[in-house]
Amino acid sequence: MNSKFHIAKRKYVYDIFASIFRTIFLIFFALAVLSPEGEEFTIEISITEFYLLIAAFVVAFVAQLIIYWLILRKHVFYDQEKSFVVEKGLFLKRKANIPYKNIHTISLKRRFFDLILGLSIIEIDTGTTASFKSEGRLVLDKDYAIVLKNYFETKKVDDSKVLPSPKDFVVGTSIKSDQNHLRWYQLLALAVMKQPFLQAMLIMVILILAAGSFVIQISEDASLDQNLIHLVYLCLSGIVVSTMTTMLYHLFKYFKYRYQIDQENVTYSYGLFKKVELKTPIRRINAVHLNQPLLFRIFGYYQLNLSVLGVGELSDGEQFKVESKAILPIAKLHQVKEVLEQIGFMTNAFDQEVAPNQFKHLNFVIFPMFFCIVLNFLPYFIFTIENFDFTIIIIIQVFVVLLVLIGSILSLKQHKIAFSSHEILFQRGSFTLMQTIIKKQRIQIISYKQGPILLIENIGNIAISYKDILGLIVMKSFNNDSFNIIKQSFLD
Amino acid sequence: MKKLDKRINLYYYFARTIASLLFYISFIVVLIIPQDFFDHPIIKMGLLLSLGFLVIILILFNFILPRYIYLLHGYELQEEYLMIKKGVLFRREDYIPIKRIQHIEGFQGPIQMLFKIKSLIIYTAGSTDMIIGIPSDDIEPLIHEIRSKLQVYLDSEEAKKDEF
Repeated sequence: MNSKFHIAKRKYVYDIFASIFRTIFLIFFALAVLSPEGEEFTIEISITEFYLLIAAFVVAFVAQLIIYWLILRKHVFYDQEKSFVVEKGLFLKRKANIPYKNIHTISLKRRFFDLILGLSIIEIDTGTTASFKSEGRLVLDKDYAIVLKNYFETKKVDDSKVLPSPKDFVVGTSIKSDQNHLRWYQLLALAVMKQPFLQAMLIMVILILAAGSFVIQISEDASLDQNLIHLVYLCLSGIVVSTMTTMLYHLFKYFKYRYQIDQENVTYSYGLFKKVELKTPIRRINAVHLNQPLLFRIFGYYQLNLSVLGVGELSDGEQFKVESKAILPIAKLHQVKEVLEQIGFMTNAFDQEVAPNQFKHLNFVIFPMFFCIVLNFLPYFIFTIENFDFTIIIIIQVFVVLLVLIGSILSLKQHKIAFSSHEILFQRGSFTLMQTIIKKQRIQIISYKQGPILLIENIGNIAISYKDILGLIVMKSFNNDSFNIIKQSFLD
Repeated sequence: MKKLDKRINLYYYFARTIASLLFYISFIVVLIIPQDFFDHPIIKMGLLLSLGFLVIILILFNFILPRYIYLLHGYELQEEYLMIKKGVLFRREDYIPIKRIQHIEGFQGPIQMLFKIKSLIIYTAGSTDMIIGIPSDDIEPLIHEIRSKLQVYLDSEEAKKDEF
């Protein structure tokens, strides 16, 4: 029988705090229940009742501490021939048996308090799409976590490796290279060049100007001309504060962002208060996403994201996973090409491509414009407000309609599918150019979808489902001949 | 293309009616309840309009669209892929390569038992697909056929290369 090892005892500090907070919550809950309804917050209890109450809370606190301690002691891991076993639970016992060969992604994470307590969380994922949750999650000493990670990597190929004990181990190393990393100014640039930031700023300015002009005019003592400058100041200060906050967030979150690619694995790490390190085998990469938001395009930058099961999913059931999927959050084209070559993508040229050719203007430009114009100007026909200056609102609406028009035209121009012998490239997007390259053998289902309008037009949308959680790409307005070309290329 | 069981239209009439029954009953109840029951006449009008709209959509969904299901739905098993055709107003054709299939399942619910039909669920690594309305007697041979085609791939050299 192999030795069973316990997770780090220091995790108990978290449990103590959890017990304290839960007990305080219980106190407030009990007081809220005991307090007479609709009167002031005064409760009259006798001294005996008071001591009984205190005793109850102390018992609750101690009971929690005991239960947490027992749970901690029951959380063990050990090696069982060709599998890694994690046992946990006091009342609901669980035993996860993870074959070493099936380990897909190993990630190391450190939250803010983990940094203080010298802890690391190691997560082991087998890449199943059936569950968002990592199959194994252990809170360990920060040095031992690295040792365990190295053990998983070598155990896959070397059965003779012995699981090191958390009490007696030789400290390993993580990413060694300092060559591939992002500098602080790149992180700051990344923060303000991302499309969601630009969109948020645009929406904020529109809301301030539209709502501000409305509020000013309905208050009787103010005029729009006198107060317009205040709205502009408000917009500017909003932009400055948001920019600073976003920059700081990116600086802390992606602090020391670095990656390393060897023959078999891709490793990247980042974080100041919460350190994250992810390692995944290259052969597990199902697709890559090459994105260029508007400002990236202007300055010639790219973002390269990996699609690997178990990395950066929405949620793991217990907490939100917000890991970056970007191996290159911001990079020039030559760096992107270099990395793509290292991970075995775009090795062959995309020699064939198809694009929408029937009713393309109608579906990409005229329909979106029609809905946009109707939504923007319909309120004028429904509501009438007298003595109201609509100048700012109309300017904003014209600006929005123009943006939609430019976006629609860009979307039409950029929408295409290209393929090589091993990969298919899906290019789409309007202001943000998105290219997804999927290896043909990772595509699971290809569908041709037609709604009532598309049936009349005798064209359809192509939906591609690939190996990833929510891995679905929809390409719009392709005729049957184009679909058959893609289908044939995919099925060959 | 292979057709589904002829009882598939009946099955959809029945299953969708059961699913929508609550809305039909609600509409009739609101219609019968006297206006005085509501605090304001507009509440009854609003409820009737919204439920009425929903009921019209559901009637279309329950009684009109299933008439075309037998005509339009179907599947085709080829050497390389399984094609599934479905939808009436919103149509789709799914192509699933045999070699991407992880496992297949036959399924029969209580209403399907009544109509002696079964469903076939196809699992791939990243998604699932379904054929509803295969005659009960045809499902086993179909599963066997898919399974044997899949086995040919699994025993091949290509499968070893594709392993990930």
